[in-house]
This record gives sequence, C-alpha cells and structure tokens, in this order.
Amino acid sequence: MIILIIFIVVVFSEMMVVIKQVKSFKDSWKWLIPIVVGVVGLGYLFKLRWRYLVYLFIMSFLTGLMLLYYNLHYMFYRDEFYKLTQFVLRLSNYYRIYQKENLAFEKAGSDVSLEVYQNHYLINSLMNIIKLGESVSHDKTKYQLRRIEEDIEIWLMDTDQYQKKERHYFNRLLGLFGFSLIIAYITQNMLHHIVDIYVLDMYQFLMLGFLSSILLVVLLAAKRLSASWILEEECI
Amino acid sequence: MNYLWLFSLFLFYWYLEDKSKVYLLMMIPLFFFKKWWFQIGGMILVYTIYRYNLLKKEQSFKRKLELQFSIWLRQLEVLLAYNNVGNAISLSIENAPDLLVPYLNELSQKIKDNPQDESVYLSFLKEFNILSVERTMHHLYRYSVLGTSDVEEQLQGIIVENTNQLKAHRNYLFENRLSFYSFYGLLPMVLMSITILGILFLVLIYLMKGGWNI
Repeated sequence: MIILIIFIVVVFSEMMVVIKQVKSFKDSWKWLIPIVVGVVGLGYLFKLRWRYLVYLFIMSFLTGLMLLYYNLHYMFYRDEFYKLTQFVLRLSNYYRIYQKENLAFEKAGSDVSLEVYQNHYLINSLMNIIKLGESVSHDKTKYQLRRIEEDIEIWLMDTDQYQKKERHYFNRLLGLFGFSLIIAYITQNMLHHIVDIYVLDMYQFLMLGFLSSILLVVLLAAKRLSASWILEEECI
Repeated sequence: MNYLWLFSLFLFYWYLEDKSKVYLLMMIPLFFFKKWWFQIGGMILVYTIYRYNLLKKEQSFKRKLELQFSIWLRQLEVLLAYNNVGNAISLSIENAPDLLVPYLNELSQKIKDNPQDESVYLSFLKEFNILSVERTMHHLYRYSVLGTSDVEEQLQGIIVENTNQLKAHRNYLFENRLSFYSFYGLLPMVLMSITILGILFLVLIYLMKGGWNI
C-alpha cells in the first residue's frame, strides 16, 4: 500500500494534465491493454499475491496512460518541427524565385504561421530578410537566403540526428530493464527450490518495489522524450 | 559560545540580502561542534564550496552570453546587408536576446554620440573578456569606418565562423542532454542487484533459523 501511495503521489502532478486531455487519445488507447497485461503478467510470474497484483494493475494503468500521453506529445513536436522547417525552406525558395512576399507565402501554403515561431533566431532572421528585401532592395537577398537555407538545413539535420539518438538510448534502456527482469526471474526461481520464498512478506514487498520503480524510471525517461524539438536556449 | 550565535545571525541577514549566499548558511551547524579545528576546517570547506558554486554560475552565465552574442551576430548579419553598422545595431535591439539588450542600448547610444571612436566598439562586453566578442567588434569598427571590400571580406569570414560556433554550441547542448542517459542506464542493474541481494538475504536468514550447526 505504501509503495502504491508513493507511486501515485509522484505521478499525480503529471496526471492532472493528462486527465484534462483524455479526449485526444482516440485510437492509441488500445496500446494500454498490452502494457497493463504485460506488467500484471510479470507480477504473476514473480508469484505476487492478488492484492499486490491489483496494485500493479492500477500502477501500470497510470503508467500506460502517461506513456501514451508522452508519445502523443512526442509525435506532435516531431510533426511540428518537420512541418516548420519544410515550410520555411519552401518559403525561402519561392521568395527567391518570385521576389514578392505575398506570392511566396501563397505558394508555400498556409499550414504554419511563422508568428508563433518568430522567437527562434533563424526564423527571425529569415523574416527580417524577407521584410528588408521587400522594403530596401533584392541585391543581397539571394546570398542571404542561401546562407540561411544552409543554416536551417544544418539545424534540421542536427536536431533530427539528436532525436534519433535519444530514441535509441531510450530503447536501449528498455532492453536493459528486460535483461534485469530476466536475471531477477532466474535468480528467484533458483532460490525458490532452496526455500519457499513466495510466502514471505519481505519478498512480496521487494518485488513490488522492484517492478514499480522500473515503471517510474521508464516514465521519467519517457518524459524527457516528450520535450519540444526547438531548443529553448536558441530562442530570443 | 554566545558570540557564535551572533555570528550565525549575521550570516542569516547576509543571506537575506543576497540569496546566492545560501551555501554560507551551512556554516551554522558547525557551531555545535566543540573542537575548534573542526569549526575552522568546516568553515574553510563551506567557503570553498560557495566560491566554487559562484564560479560555476559565472561560467554558465558567460557561456549563455557567448551563445546569445552568436545569435545576435547571426541576426546582425542580415541587417548589415541592408544598413550601415550603427543603424544595424540599433535596429537589432528590437529582436535581440534578453541578456544583451541593456548592453546593446548603451552601445548604440554611444555610437550615435561619436561614431568614429574605436574604444566605443571595443568596450562592448569588455568586462567578460570574451575573445570572439572582441574580435568581432574590432572588425565591425573597421567595417563601419573604412568600408572597403577587403574589410568586408574579413567580416564575412568572422560571420561564417560564427555560424560554425552556433552549430557547435547546439551540439554541446544536445550532448549535455544525452549525458543524462549514462546515469539512467545504470539504474536497471542497480535495482536488480538490490532486489537479488534482498532475496539472498532472506534465504540466508531462513537457512540460519536453526542456528549455525547445519
């Protein structure tokens, strides 16, 4: 019970945000079933009591909900970033061709509004180029546009690579947890033949703590993945 | 020991004046120890920690300032293509990074007052001793006064180098974030070993129930 309460207290502040946005889950709620079944099945494999299995069920349900929420965030930020960079590159291309602000915006499409992102320094510089090119002259615009396109492409590539790396590290973390679970299972199975440890309270408590702390660490690691792809430090 | 209580009160007021002195409050529990060498040694240790944290804070501020200067220079590059130096600097204040705004206001005012003075340019952010800032300001001055194609080329070189710095800084930020996983990667094994040791301990206790004569 203590472990359950600690778990819920730790997760609670995050939960409040999720509850408000439950509607956006739509299809992805189906992924809750394998997560919950998997975790409760693990508890069953470690021969936990029914009471603790119920606790595990609640914890895994909350964790699954949070994981889905973080995943939605991740996908949202990824799409946002790709959309933004592609739009900006298209815009600069069209501006180079037509040299008219309105026409370039019209051709590039209107799926992104640049005003939202104008505190990133590259977007800000691009908007400045377009504004100044329009009001002063187009003499140096081509060179500036080429430079900023280069910068934006490097930005896109770097961020993409970093996110892939982070995703890879997260998957590796999950693999390590799987590995540690296998070792723990083998050990307790082996020791069970010497002494009947399943009936001991201490064993049940240890195993519940082990499983719930794994859930917590996975949750914290997943939270890092759900951050925005646009670096805060690079904004003005 | 009354004088020590007075000293701790003084420390507390000192802390209220400036919150960054919170580390010095760690000196207060030292007064409960009776050994004088322990008190003095502890004070030196706490003061060293305080100085170290101050230094770290300064360094991170300097790094942030460097990044913001690079960002500002990237924005200035665009403005320089269409304006002269003084105009470009005063135009850039509107969208400048927050740490630089007061310094930039001062600089643009000084440039308006006497645009030919080299020391105006060189005094920008001089108290932080950043090499790239000094070099860039020197080139900006030469560009604004001489304005020949040779100088322009040099300034372009600086600006291109600046974008490389921005890229390097971004990669540094990314690596900083990834270093978190090197700690998290240890957790699975640590948790597992705690659990296994716990089970082994249980088994041992259970086996030793009958005493040592197995």
